[in-house]
Amino acid sequence: MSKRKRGSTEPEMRSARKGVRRWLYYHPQGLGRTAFLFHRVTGLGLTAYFVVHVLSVGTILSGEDAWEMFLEIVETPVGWYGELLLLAAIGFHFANGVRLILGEFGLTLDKPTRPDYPFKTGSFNLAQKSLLVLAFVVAALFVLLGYLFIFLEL
Amino acid sequence: MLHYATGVLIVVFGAVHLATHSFLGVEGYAGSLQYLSVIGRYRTALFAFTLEALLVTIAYHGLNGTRMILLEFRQGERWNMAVNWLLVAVGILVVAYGTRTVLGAYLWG
Repeated sequence: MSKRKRGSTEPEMRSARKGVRRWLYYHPQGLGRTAFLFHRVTGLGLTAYFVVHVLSVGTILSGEDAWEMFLEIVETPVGWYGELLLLAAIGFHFANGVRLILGEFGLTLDKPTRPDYPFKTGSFNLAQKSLLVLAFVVAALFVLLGYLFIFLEL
Repeated sequence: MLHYATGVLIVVFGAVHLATHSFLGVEGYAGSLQYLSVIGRYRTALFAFTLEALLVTIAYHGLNGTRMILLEFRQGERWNMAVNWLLVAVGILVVAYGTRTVLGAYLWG
C-alpha cells in the first residue's frame, strides 16, 4: 500500500475549531480509507462467524436435547449482545457493499474531467460520501431492530 | 465479478434468513429458535433451499474476500498456491458440513 500525502481532508486549522463536530471530519487518511478498513474488518469477522455458525448449528441433527443444550450456551446476555455486534457488522458491510458495487459500475460517480487545480475527486463525490454515511446509519438501524426483536421480544 | 454477484445474492437470501428469525411465520426471535420451529423450516423445501444457497454464496464471498486480503498481505508464487488451496479446502469442508445439516434435517429431521 502506497504512502500517500494527506488527501482532500479538512485542513488542521479549520478542523480544530469545529469542536465535537471535528470528530466527523477528522480522517487523517481520508474518509474512504476508514470505510476500507471497516469493510475488511467486518468482512473477516463475518467470515469467521459464518464458519463457527455453520459448524455449531449442525447440532440440530443430534436431536432436541442436544439442541436445547446448545441454546443454553448461546442464548445468554453475552450471546445477545454478541448478536447486536454481529448485526452492526452485517448492516455496515451490506450498505457499504452496495456503495462499492454502485461505484464499480460507474453509477453515482462524476464524469471524468481534465485534472485541473484544485483536483476534485470525482470518484468520491457527495453521492458516494452520503452513501458512506448512510452505511453507518444502516448499521445503527440493524442494531436497533435487533434490540427490538431480541431484547424486547417484539 | 462473482464476488459482486454472490454479494447481491447474499442480500436476498440473507434478508429471508433474518426475517425467519424475527417476524416471518414465527413467534418472535426466541420462538424461531425452538427445536420444532427450526426443524420445521429445514423440512420446508423453500427455506431449506435458502439455507443451502446462503451456505454456498457466503462460503464463496467470505473466503474469496479473505483470499484478496491474504494475497495483498504478501506476494509470491508459493504463497498464492498455499492461500488458494487452503481456502478451497476450508470452503469444501464448510459447504460439505453445512450441506450435511441441510440435507439431513430435510430428509430425516
